[in-house]
Amino acid sequence: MSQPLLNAPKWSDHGLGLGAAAVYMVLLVVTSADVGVPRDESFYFYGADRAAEWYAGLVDSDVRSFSRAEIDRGFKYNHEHPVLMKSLFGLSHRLFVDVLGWTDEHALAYRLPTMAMASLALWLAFLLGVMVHSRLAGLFAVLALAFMPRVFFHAHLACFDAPVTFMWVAIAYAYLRAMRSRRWAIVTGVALGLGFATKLNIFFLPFTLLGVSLFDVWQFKRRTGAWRAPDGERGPLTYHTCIGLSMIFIGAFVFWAHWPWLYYDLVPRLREYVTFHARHVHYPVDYLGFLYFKPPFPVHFPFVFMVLTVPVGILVTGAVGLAVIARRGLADWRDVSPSAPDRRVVDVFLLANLAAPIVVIALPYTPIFGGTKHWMPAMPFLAVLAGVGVVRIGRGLFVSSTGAALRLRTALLGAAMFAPAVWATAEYGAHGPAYYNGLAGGPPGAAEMGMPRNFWGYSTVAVLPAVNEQVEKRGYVFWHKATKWAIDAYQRDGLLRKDVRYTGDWTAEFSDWAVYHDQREKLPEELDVWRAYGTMLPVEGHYIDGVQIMAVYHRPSPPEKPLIPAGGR
Amino acid sequence: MTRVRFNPWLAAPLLVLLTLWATIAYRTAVPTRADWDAAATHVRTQLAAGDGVTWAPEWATEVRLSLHGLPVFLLDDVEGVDFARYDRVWLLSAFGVEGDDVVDRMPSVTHEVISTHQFGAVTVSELRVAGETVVGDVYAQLESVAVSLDAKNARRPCDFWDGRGWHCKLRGTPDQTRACLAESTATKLAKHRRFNRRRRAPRKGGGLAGGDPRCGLDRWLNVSRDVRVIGDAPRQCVWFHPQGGKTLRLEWAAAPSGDVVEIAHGFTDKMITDHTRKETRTRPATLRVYRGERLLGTQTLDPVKGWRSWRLEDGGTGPLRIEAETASTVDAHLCIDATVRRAR
Repeated sequence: MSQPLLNAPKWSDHGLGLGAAAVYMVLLVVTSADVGVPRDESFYFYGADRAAEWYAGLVDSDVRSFSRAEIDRGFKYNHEHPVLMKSLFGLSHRLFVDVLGWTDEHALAYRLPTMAMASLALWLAFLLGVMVHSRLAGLFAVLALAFMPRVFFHAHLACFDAPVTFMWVAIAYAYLRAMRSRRWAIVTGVALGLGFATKLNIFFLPFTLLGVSLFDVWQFKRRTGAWRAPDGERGPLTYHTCIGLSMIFIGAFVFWAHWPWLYYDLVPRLREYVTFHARHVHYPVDYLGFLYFKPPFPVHFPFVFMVLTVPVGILVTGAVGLAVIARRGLADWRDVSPSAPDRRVVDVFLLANLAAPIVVIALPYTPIFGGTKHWMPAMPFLAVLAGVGVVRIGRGLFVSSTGAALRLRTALLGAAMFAPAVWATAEYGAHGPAYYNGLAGGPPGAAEMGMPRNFWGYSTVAVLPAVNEQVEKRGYVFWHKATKWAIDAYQRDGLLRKDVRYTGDWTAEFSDWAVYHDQREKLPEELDVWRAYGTMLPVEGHYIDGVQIMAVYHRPSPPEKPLIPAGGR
Repeated sequence: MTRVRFNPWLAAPLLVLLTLWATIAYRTAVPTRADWDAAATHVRTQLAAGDGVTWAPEWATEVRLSLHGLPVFLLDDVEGVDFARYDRVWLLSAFGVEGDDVVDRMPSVTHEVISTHQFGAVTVSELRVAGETVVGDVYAQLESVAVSLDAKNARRPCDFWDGRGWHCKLRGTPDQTRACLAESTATKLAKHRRFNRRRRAPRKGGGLAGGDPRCGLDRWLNVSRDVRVIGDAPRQCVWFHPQGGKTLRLEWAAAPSGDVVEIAHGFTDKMITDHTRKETRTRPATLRVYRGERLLGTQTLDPVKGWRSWRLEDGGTGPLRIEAETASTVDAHLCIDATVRRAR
């Protein structure tokens, strides 16, 4: 075979990537309290505690941890999702709060595993950038991934979207190495198992990689005239077979082993898990002024969202990178000579991993209620393309420069192009779902277009200071989309006064205060408040660039006996 | 002469620069709370009887924090916006929307912008309202109407007023129900929780034993002042839920005479389109409007999304009567806004 053209990462590259990850981790930790608790995260806190209790039972001789009863106690709750992350959230909470006492911020303690994974995704993006192009490309891949406000937001949450983004890129990275290494094939299988243990979206990755494998094998055939390498050598077919076997057997084993819930009634429980997601209910989708309650959903949904929610600097450089990589891939495909460079079809690999998560959501019958977070696994690959794009733009602009001078100028240019993204992340990151870029006209432009700006109750955190200040002692608050467990989490972390009460879901009429999360499909619930309180005027709120995210209502006067009009009784 | 060649790669950073400029532009157009407060204070000092206050664009709701105590109404649908209840409208606008923009979108009526004032990023436009004026308003005068439910040969008066509207069915006596309505939030919430527990695990003969948080009043079958999402926007209207096989009747004895009776109406979006069922369960409803004994008109309201207007020639005197019928009570979430109008 011809000489490989991918750059093998050096130890110094790992050092650089991990250094960037460490800095990002610090950034995430110090901003954690600014990011509210969405509904799902509060459920996972509870599930995490149950899982952690089960793990604690492993070292308690009085507990029969592997009995059906104990397993059900630990893992029955929220068993529509596997438990790798919930276990890590729970163990992290136990370790950092209960055992080490390093923090008294409970939410932060649950969130640390997500933050670590989101940070490590930067490391992998850097390595991919180095492998497919250069260190400079890797560096800007790191910056691009770190400073997407919506990704930054999700990188905080004890949920599965940032972790599965990390897992996707980790599996992809391992696969890229395994394309010419049998040892890495084992790593790929383990990584895939852990990916399945993180979230179901990983289901689409093996199919994506299978496509890349077939292309690699076919390319080999086109160049050498044979499917298999000559005796004594290994060709793509061998490596991809190893990867496939590893994914199937090791991946499946890791997935099963991580989830004690499957130790009993394997087939029915597995069937239940798959069925839940295959027949997932459709939640309303607010898009371009139209509320979709059922499929078919518009195919352009993820593409338009990408264009409007990724900072323009990253979008532009990503587009340039895409063109560079696509062109290089085309050139490689056309070159069928045996001495052609063996880039392990890395260009196809990059483009496939960028496209797959987006295309899945673009299918008209895929549930898309989560919005941008559902195709977040594409973002590390967009970031790598952005890194490649910065380098290409630098070469195009500084034609007379070479070597270190060219790199320095390119770095300065890239920094300037990414600076608005850094600002946007600092400004909007804590409220990522409200962020829209300059092409959209920011949050006001998005509001004008009829785009959504809130997400499942996370933004409660923004009005807690007002609630603390204004609500009377033991006041009754209708928290709308925030769950009881989310309110408990705020109280436990000292962000909300402990005496403030939670009235429950759909209880506007039985409350004196109402905290409304602005989601268009929830407008009838805001009107419930208007009807119950007799006013459409809030007393406080949280607004981003003048656009309502939260409104706080107060019943103007206590309930009183109605008067009897003439003719009434 | 040397020809300067444009390096096409410059387009990339220039595009970023351009959107940076766009970002700065939209950020500078965002009003501060102080801007909204100052604008509202200006309106307060000028306010007179017959004035209404609204804002644009409709999503710029931060203004509502400053509008307490003012006669506020929603401008959520500029195509069909109706100023007829007011003599003068104060429009607080931002984000590039001006008073003229709103007036221009209503070519059929010649409202006039008579003054504008700027408060930071907020423009206050004073609009003189032209066209019709409302002389009778069922929503405003709901206490004065009589409501009944007619079935076969029996007429059931809906004569219990709960502070918002008329109810036909009571579980307790009127005094008990009124006392219940005046209970504290804490008591009502406790009842609600007990009620939910009982609903989940019903006991024989449970009834109202633990207390009904809604004081025995029917949540749906009443005629009340309301606000509902109809045609994608909140509509202030009178809840007028017809019942299958019965005639819901609203009679306003003291209704003033006018040129036109206008009935804006719609079924709630939630029942028509905003659900996951294959199709709506709402059945068509029939509205009949009488002035005295004279039938002004009959219309069948199909279960389609939207807020529509039905205009009937008036000119008569006597009670105004509106009747609604439907084949099925299920999801008959109808809301109406009936006004009597005259040329200004």
